[in-house]
Amino acid sequence: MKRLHIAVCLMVLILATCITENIAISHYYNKLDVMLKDASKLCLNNEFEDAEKKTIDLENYWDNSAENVLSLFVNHNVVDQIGYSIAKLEPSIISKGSLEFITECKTASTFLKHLKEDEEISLTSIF
Amino acid sequence: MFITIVRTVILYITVIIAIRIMGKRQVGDLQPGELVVTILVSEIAAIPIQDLNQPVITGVIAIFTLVVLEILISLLSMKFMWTRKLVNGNSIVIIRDGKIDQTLMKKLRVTVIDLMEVLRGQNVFELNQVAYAILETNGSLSVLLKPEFQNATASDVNSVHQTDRGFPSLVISDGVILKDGIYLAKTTEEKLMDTLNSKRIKLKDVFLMTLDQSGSNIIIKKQKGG
Repeated sequence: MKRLHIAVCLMVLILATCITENIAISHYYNKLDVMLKDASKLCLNNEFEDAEKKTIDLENYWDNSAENVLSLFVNHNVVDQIGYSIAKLEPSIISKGSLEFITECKTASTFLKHLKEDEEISLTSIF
Repeated sequence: MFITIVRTVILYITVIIAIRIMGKRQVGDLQPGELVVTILVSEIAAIPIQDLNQPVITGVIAIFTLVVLEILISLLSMKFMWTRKLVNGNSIVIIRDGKIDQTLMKKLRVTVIDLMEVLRGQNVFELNQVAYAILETNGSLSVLLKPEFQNATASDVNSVHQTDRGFPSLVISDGVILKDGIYLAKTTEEKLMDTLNSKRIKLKDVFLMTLDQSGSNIIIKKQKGG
């Protein structure tokens, strides 16, 4: 019976960890995706200063919060790829490289989307 | 490098906890299901240690999931016979009444050479001595010899009077009284100290002392300067 109790406790812990992981990934995906889309829109409207501000906010949010939490659950290579894309945003907006900026926004957004999809419970992820 | 050390320590502790939760059976005779879990646990633990890009938590979660599965399967096996049969299989009698079941041996892919090797491992060198040989689910072979080849026991020899003295348990180790040992020897600390006092030996001078239920004891004193 003692072992059954331990098994139940472990099961609860495992499930809690998995749910926390999924919630964290969804939360960061939603927030970062919105920020990336906003930055892209501002750039398309030639509002480069606002786009730069948005990019700095995005970078700070990534460095101070998202990267640390996501690294706990996800393969670090994937997190690094998103980090590289986000790091390229500020230089490209400063140099007014709209196309490059929008491409990097889209790349970061796609990496995030894949990350979310890979961790979601679905037949595609399992097999 | 430090990360590798820390990760190794974390996963080492995780595997120790996992094996302890799964129980002592896991260490000794492994059933097929237990063997699978043991192999998988060692493989999974190695991945986050070697690949620093892999989060440690993925390894820990995988190991504990296997532990949960193992506990649930073993509990189901206790409750339902079909689960036990499904996971562990059945014990199979390959020698019955001294006759080898050749069909079964073929089915199990056990050669006579394999059989003789296992029998020799059990000090049986002649096949005609064996009454029954059972291939257990953990792969070991249990052998029952024909009555005429079995060793005589105390009950077979009427003149020998045997009393159960239990087994000698370690009651003092390096000057420290072991409570488990005292419990097994069915004695008390006071009685133990009386025995030492009667022999004029101080507790701190005892290297080891064993005691059985009849009171028979062996005391080895510490070496001087040791």
